[in-house]
Amino acid sequence: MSPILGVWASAQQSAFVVGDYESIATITANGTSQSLTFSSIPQTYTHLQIRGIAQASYSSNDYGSIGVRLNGDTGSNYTRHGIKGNGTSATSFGITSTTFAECGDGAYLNTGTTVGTSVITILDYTNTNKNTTVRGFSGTDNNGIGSIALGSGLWLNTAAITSVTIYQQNANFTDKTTFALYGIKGN
Amino acid sequence: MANTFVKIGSVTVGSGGSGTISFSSIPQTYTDLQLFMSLRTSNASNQDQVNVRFNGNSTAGIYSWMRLAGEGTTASTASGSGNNLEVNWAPSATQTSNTFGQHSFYIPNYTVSQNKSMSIEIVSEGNAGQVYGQVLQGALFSSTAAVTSIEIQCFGSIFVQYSTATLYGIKKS
Amino acid sequence: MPKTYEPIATQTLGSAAASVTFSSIPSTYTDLVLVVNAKAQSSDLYPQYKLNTSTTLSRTYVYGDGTTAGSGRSSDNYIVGTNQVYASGFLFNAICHFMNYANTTTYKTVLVRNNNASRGSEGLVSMWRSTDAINSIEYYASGNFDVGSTFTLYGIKAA
Repeated sequence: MSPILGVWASAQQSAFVVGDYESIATITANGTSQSLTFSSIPQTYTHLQIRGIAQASYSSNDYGSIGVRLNGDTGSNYTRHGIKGNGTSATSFGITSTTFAECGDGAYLNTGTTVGTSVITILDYTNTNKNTTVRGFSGTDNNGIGSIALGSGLWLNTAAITSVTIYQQNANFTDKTTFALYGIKGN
Repeated sequence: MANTFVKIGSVTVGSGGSGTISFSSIPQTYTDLQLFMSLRTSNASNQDQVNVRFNGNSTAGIYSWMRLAGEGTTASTASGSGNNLEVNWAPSATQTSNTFGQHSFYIPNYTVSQNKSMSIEIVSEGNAGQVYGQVLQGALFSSTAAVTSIEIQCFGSIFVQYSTATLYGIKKS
Repeated sequence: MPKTYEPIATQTLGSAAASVTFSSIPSTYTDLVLVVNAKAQSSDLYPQYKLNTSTTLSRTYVYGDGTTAGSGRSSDNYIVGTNQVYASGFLFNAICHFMNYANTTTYKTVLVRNNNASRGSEGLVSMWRSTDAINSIEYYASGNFDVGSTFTLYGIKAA
């Protein structure tokens, strides 16, 4: 299924300031897409953090990964790795030539009231001398199933980040999915 | 009310690289410290060890740590102590070009007269399935002195140009 | 109007105590971050928590204790994965993210990092099976947290 841009709920730049951790925008899904995109990201911060909850309509009592795509790139230009626990064992994985950066299993794959959650960090996002490394700490628990992970991914491109797409590979995000983008000043 | 999350300082490594990144004279007016680092080294390997010291203290065994790590398909755990805080890994010379890792340190209550406990996450990426790391680490600086300086050292070589470190203070009131 | 990242309340124990409660938490933020920097007074602790006095919780965790890299899950209100991390005499820290805590359409999910340099480092996710907004958090254990233990609650407000 090709991704369709999700709903842009609000884009009130720097609505809440004071200090160097600032809110940029919030997106809430409308049930029609596997992707939610923050676009036209201001280049005035040093780091980005994305925090949110997610649910995808996959009709399975299970969890799914939250991925990140950058600047609209859906090609096999990413690597992803992670350390995770599923309630039974701790495992580690690595995948190259993949289509998104890994942020852990922060999506619950069913409708209802359970959601997964993620905190995603991107450092030096405007620096054009670095490929972008994404770090995600995320998890889902549904009282008998669950996963908690530290995930990471590499975008093999040194372009400054102007858009970040949150991506779920199994199904469309439901309207219980919402993510907030924050900018962190550093220069 | 004072600002809560405030940049204290930042370092960007210039051309020629640097063996050390330092923050000194850290203000004592915050409650917690948050340190973000984006590092790469010149070591002739895929990844390199990074060491951290507080207040220039190199007393034997004053730093201890325990970590959970993922390297490709291997999940592992390790612990240690020493005169440096070891925080593996950072990408280095034979790793995918233009690739820098992420280190995140959170140090609560850095000014109080008790030992300093901290929470660390590290990711080191590369274009291969093996070797590269994700780390959840806890660490302890067994000193009751307030943290006034942080020194980040490259273990076997130097931090290359464009490596960065940004230190923030977080204030509880 | 709240700022983006703002302290809500802090408690530092002047005497040993078995629990700390943050009540009347305003619903004006998006996420809460609880930072714990504490030590057990005299016996190993295995901290639990209540949200709005409820214990209808469950957890999944992954840990490394220097010997074992492992994972577990349970239907209970413990906020640590293993009882290693709160061993008596060792300083411990926890950073707990209560995500979208004020919404009334989903169960509440908490992301936690627990760290004890001598006993273990963990990641944990916990779920509260309630769609109520969180208005109180009680962090407690069967024994006492020592004098000087600190608990600070921050709010993060999205646009």
